[in-house]
Amino acid sequence: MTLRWPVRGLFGLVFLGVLWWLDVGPRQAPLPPMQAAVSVRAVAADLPSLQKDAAGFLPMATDALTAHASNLLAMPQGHTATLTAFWFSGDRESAPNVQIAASQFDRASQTWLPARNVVDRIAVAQKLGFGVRRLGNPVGWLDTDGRMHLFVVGTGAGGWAAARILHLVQSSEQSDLAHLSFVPVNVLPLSWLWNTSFLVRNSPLQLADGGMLLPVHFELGWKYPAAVRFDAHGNFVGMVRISAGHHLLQPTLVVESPTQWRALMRSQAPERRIGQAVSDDAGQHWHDVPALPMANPDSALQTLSLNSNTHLLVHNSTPQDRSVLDLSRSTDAQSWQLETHLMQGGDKDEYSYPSLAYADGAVWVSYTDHRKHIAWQRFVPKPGQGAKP
Amino acid sequence: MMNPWFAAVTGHWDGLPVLPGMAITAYANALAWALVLAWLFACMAARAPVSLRRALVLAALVWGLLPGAVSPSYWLGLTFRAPSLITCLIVLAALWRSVGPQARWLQRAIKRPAEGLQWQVLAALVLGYLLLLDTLALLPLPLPLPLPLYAFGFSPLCLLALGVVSLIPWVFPWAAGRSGGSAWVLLPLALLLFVLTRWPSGNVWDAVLDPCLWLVLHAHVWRRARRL
Repeated sequence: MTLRWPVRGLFGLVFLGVLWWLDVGPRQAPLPPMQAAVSVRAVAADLPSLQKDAAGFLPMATDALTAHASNLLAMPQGHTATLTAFWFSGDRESAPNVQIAASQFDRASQTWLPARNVVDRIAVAQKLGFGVRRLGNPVGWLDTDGRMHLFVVGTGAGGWAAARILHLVQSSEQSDLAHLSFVPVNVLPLSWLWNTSFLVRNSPLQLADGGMLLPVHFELGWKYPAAVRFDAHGNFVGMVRISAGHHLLQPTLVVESPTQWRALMRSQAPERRIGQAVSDDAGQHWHDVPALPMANPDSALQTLSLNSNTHLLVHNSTPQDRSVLDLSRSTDAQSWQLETHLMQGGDKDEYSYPSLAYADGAVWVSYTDHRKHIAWQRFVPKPGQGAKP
Repeated sequence: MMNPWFAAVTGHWDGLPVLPGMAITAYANALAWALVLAWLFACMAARAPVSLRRALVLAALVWGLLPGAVSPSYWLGLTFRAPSLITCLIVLAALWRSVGPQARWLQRAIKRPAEGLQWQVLAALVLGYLLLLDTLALLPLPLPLPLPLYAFGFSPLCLLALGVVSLIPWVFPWAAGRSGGSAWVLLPLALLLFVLTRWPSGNVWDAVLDPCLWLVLHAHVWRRARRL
C-alpha cells in the first residue's frame, strides 16, 4: 500500500510530536541568568594587609613520590574541617599509580589530617565501563545539599591532550576524611571529537542560585578556555567559550560586579603575559582584552574574589620560570600590587599550580613544591586591622 | 548576540540538558562496542559458512560484553568513548544481513544502509567538518546559532530539526533516491532511541554521528566517486 505524501506528512508530524514530548518531558526548566554569589554575599569586606600566620607541607599519601595540582575547598561552618585539599600523587606525573589524594585541616586540632587516596583510577573505570588511562588535576565543589563534587582530569589514549573531565560525587554519608568516598556520575560531554582534550584546573565560581561555573580549557593543538555551568545540585547545564584566542588555558574567574566578570589565564603566547577576557553580561558572552602587564611563564595561576573590590591572585611572576610565587592584590582586577612573595627560589626551583581559599577568617594558599610536596601557607589580617564585616 | 526569535522560542521551550545515567552509560557502551566488534568479525569471515560466522559473532559479542580490562570494549571506550546510535544501527543491520535469518523477505527488508542516501551521507560529511571545526574553536562565531555548534546539540530544537530532516525521505520518497530501501529509517530510529536513553552523552550530535563513522563515510564517498 502506497500512502500519499499528505498522509505521510501527517504521520511525520505525529512522530515529531512524540519525539518532542519524549525529549522535553524529562528536562528541568531553564535556569535564570547567572549571578555570582560573591556579588550578593560579601565573604569579607575590605580585608586589610595580610601577614603569614602558619605554613608547612600537607601530609603525603602513603608511598607517593610526587604530588601536584592541589585544590582547596572551604568547608561549611560546623564541619569538623576548615578545608579539604585534593591533589594527585603517585610515582610521577602521569604514572599508572597516580590517584587523587585528600587531606582536611581539622578545626579541633588545627592540624592537617593524614592524607588518604579518595579516587582510584581502576575503580572509576570499572564504574564507568571503560578505561581511564591516567588521572590528573582534581577540583572540588560543595553543592547546596552539602555534597562534595569532584572534577578530575582522566586521560584516554594519549597524554593530557586526550584528557576528559570525570565528574564524581560524594558517595559516603559523611564528608569527614575518614569516611570520604566518591563515585563517578559521568564524563562531562564537552566535545564531539571522542569527547577529548578538555581539562579542569581551577576552582569554580560560586553562583547566587547555588550552582557554579567551572572553568575548563581545551588543549589539542589549539588552547582555548571555556566555562561549564552546573545547577545547585551539580547537574550539567551547558558550556560557553571564554576566548577566541588559541593560546590561553587554565582560566580563573574574577567577579568585578554582578555583571562584569573577568577571566585571567595562563598564556602560551610569545609575550609571556597573563591573558584575560571579559564578560559584561555575567558570563553569558565573553570577549578578549589585551593581556595584563604581568609576566606569566606558561604557568597556572589562581584568583579569589573576596568581594567586588578585593581580589587576590597567586602567580609565578617571572617570565622565564616558576621559581618565584607571589600573592598579589587588586581592587579592580586590572592593576595588581604585590602583597607578598610566597616563595623565592633559584633557577632550578619550582613552586607552581597554586590554589586559594578563604575560610575561618583567613586566606589559605596551597601550591606544588618541586613536584614532590604540596605546601601551604595561611594569612590573617595584621593585628589591629581585622577584617571589617 | 542571541537571535531574538531564537531567544523567545528557547526561553519557553528549552530546558536543561538530560545526560544518560551511569548504568546506561556503562552497559550501553559495552553493548555498542560488542556489536561493532561482532560486525568486524563477520566482515573478516565474510566468505565463511553462515554457521561459522554466527559462532564468531557470538564469540565477539561475549568477549565485548565481558566486564573490565579483559574486554575490548574497555579499551575502545578509553580511546573512542562510544560509537553513535547510527553506527550501532548500521552495524546491527549489517550483522542481520550477514548472520540473521536467511529468509528472502527478511533480507530484502534490511538493505544496505548506505544505498540511495547519498545526500544524507554528504550532509553527514559536512556536519562532521563543522563539528570538528567547532571543537577546535575554528568555526567563526556568532553563527546564526546562539551557541557553539556542539552545545546546540543539547537543545530540543536541534533534535526537532534533525527529526524534520530524518522524515524527508519518508514524506517525499523521491528524496531518498531510486534505491532508497529502508535505510531512511536509521535516523528517526536513532533519534527515538536517543530521547529514550540519552545515550551516548545527552548530546544529539553524538547520537547521530561519531568521528569514526565520519571517517568511514569519507572512504564510502571516495569509493562512490571513483565509480562515477
